[in-house]
Amino acid sequence: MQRDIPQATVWSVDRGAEMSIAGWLAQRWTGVLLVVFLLAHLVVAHFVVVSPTTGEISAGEVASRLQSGWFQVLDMGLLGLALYHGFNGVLRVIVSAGHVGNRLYFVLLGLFWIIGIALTYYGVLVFRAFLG
Amino acid sequence: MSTIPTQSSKSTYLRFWERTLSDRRMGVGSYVWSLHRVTGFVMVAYLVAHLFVLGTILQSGGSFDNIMSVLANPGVKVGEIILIWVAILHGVNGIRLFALDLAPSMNHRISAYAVVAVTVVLGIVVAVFIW
Repeated sequence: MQRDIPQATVWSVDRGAEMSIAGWLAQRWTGVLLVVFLLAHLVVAHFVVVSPTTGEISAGEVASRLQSGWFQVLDMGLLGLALYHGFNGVLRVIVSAGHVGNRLYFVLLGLFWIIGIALTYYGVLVFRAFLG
Repeated sequence: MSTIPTQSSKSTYLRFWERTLSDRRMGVGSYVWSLHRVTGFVMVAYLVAHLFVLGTILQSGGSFDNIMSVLANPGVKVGEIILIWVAILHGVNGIRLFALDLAPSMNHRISAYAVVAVTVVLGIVVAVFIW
């Protein structure tokens, strides 16, 4: 019976109550991957590469580490995953505070994607500067 | 809320801990959840700052080496240890949340305590290692 009557589209839904399965799983899986990547990043970039005398990290050592493909995957992967997981999390917190309708949700979503892509681009620039 | 004793002879501190550990008010899990959000925010802010610190390589002159020598200061280790505690709590609680999603019959309270325990243990291990 419900289907016979044309329903008007409701534009004022509260976006905090729903999340797609893909988004939910993406947040979970990026989190798990980040634990692994972050562990590797901390061990490699902050314990192995640090010079034992001054405790400083020199640009040359970073550059030599980044010659290998695995470390490039590590750094770039960490950047992308962390930005996605972080901004998705911040969006979820804002939306769960309540009173976020469709329009505001899409504005925020677009904002976070733009900031995320801009920061990823910046990261790639920095990455290439290290490679020489 | 209707059973708050106003004439109790116990100290406020003792009453707070009794309530928290008995889950009559906010339980350990709620605090862990709040900390999860706070640590998430902190790490997003740190990520952006970290990117811009690395970005000094793009400027001419010795900006990158300057800031690296500032960060080689031993006092920075305190900040690093705090940051690693932040990351450990967020990561361990995140894994707990994923496990709760996959196995809903898991006990929330016990796993929350486990998160705190693992965080403290790992945090101390890493702090000793860095220092």
